[in-house]
Amino acid sequence: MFRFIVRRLFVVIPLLFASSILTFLLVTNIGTPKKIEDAIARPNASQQQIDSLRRQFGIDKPPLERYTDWFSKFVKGDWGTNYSGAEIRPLMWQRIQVTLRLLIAASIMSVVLGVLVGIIGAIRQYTAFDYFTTFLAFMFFSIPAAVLAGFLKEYGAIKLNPWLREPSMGTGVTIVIAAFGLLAGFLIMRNRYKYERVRPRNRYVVGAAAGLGLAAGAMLVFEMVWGGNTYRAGNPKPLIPTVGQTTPGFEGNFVETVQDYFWHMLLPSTALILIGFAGYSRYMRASMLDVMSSDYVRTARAKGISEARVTLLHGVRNALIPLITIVALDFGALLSGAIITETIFGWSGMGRFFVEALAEKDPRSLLAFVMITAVSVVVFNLIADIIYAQLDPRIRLD
Amino acid sequence: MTEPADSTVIVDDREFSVAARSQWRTIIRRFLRHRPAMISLFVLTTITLFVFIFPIFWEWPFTKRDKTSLSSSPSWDHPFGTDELGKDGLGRVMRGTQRSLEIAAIAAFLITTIGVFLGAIAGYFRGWIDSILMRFTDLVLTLPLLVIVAVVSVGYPGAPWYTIPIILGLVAWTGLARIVRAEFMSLREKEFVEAARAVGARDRRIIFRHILPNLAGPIIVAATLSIAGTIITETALSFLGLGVRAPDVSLGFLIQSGLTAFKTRPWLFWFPSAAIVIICLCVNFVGDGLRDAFDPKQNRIKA
Repeated sequence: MFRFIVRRLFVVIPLLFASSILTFLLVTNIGTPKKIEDAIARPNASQQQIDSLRRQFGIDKPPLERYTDWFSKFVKGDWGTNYSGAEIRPLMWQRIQVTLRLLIAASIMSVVLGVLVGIIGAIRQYTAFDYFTTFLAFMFFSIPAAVLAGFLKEYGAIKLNPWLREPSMGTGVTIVIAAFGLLAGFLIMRNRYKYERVRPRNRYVVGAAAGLGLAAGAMLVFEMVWGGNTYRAGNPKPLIPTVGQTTPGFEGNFVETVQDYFWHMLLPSTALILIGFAGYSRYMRASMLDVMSSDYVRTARAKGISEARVTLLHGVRNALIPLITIVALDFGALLSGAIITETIFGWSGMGRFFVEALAEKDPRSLLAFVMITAVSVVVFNLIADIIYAQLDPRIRLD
Repeated sequence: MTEPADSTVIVDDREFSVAARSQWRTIIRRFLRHRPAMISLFVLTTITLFVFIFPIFWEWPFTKRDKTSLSSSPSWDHPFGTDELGKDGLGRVMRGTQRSLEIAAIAAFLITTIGVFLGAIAGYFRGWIDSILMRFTDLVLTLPLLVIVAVVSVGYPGAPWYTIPIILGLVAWTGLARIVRAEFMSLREKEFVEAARAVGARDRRIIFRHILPNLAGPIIVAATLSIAGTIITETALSFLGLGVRAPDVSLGFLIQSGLTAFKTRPWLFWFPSAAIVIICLCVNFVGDGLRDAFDPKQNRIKA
């Protein structure tokens, strides 16, 4: 284990070094920073001003010298200043925290959801549930983040907020909910007796009644919880915010702060959860199917172990192994993973850091961004390998 | 009359060729029976033909302005509505779909070619060639795809539209290269490769004629899925304003401009979004059908 890590470091450090050179080549070709372009465009710009700006951005020397200069300082932790003169390192640390708050919550949720759906999809293969979740997964695979986030922002907040303030259900919605309840009860009761020879004749009636009852109960609860909520009716602030990660200048006790975080995170994390869920559920389903058809599961069944034990202890535990490495790899890509979603919901996280740096064509910010993401990818690659070897005894690291 | 002799030869030949083709025939049959994939293929073909042929007859090309109906919602004259300058939504969506499909085709071609080539060489020759190529793959993997393309796109603002898929293709081949390499590693030890070498086949022939056909399945599936991946990446790029540039349009570009006026002109967002989702969904289902068709076990882990 220790030897493995040391050996990998011999590969990883040159790799990161090469990555820094490649990044530097990319970033030096990005063109003149916007501030300097603007200065040159000004009619009364003096050469002196432009030169001092070039010095400020650190592009007044030949490329090789710039690289060694930047790299030696970067390794020591001096990341320089960005286009507006702010220190990059504290700024970036602040942005990383914002992004991680969103992405860690979203990743955990999507992994949990994906794993559950994947397991059920695998052990109930080719059922209505399996087909439905498969279709959902394909659907969310095919939706670009911009479309999903834009859709959620419009219909999950901007159109929803006025309604949440004075919630009421029209006839149309009531009919839709009732129909849903009917259909659900009907389907459940049909599936319940699918494989039995003796089927109660009134099962559809019972199912439909139960579904209707559930729907009515849900509507009643809704009326009681939301309908009489005068606090919301009198509160001018929209419930579901669409911009930013916190309410600016918000002061409150712990519970209120958590609530504020929660409502701000709701929509962006929903977008990320749905997209992440698509991948994880497909992966978990495939992995679970693979494991459940393996010899040791057959042996376990032959020994007379109950199906639940076989599924959970022999099946799920082993099916999780490849998924965990995938999740570890995805965590490595987290820092740069939500640029679009963050932009749409106005979060000032790493996405905004990158978009601003790109718009300003600020070399040092871009270098810092790419290097941090590269380091995180490499580190989590290593972690994925270690986890894999720890969980799967067939794989040896040394 | 030399027919008897000839016919036996033909019969022999046919027998052999039928046996050789039958594997492909089962694959094709399995694919044809995959209903979602067939429906998707049909929809995809229809959309492709429609967006490439119908604009010839449509009276509103994507740059033409109808000054009598600005920002109009969908109607008979403009089924997909118009934007604030009176440009026809349908014309723009058709043009945008064309561009997005072209971008996807170029990128998928490059991804497949580079990925297969480098993966095959690394897996077949092993040793130092493999080490160099795989370290290079690791290097490319450390840099986020979107970031590389975005940075290059900002650096060269005047570049024509096809630079985007070319850069995408030059960066996104890593996954396929790893799959191909792993398969080559195991296949090169098989007896049929040894046999080929024993009869004096050169490396190039062994790689392309003997080993590569065995990988047709995973490669075709990966190539198909990279089409959907490219379209989605292009949307992200366009959202950041780094995709194709006006006056040219792509689906991502249309979605981006539709988002800016969602409240007043939602149809400008809906139609290109629907187009992208339908296309990607179809491509993914076709990929799924191909995977099932090529995989006799049908439960292999997603490539």
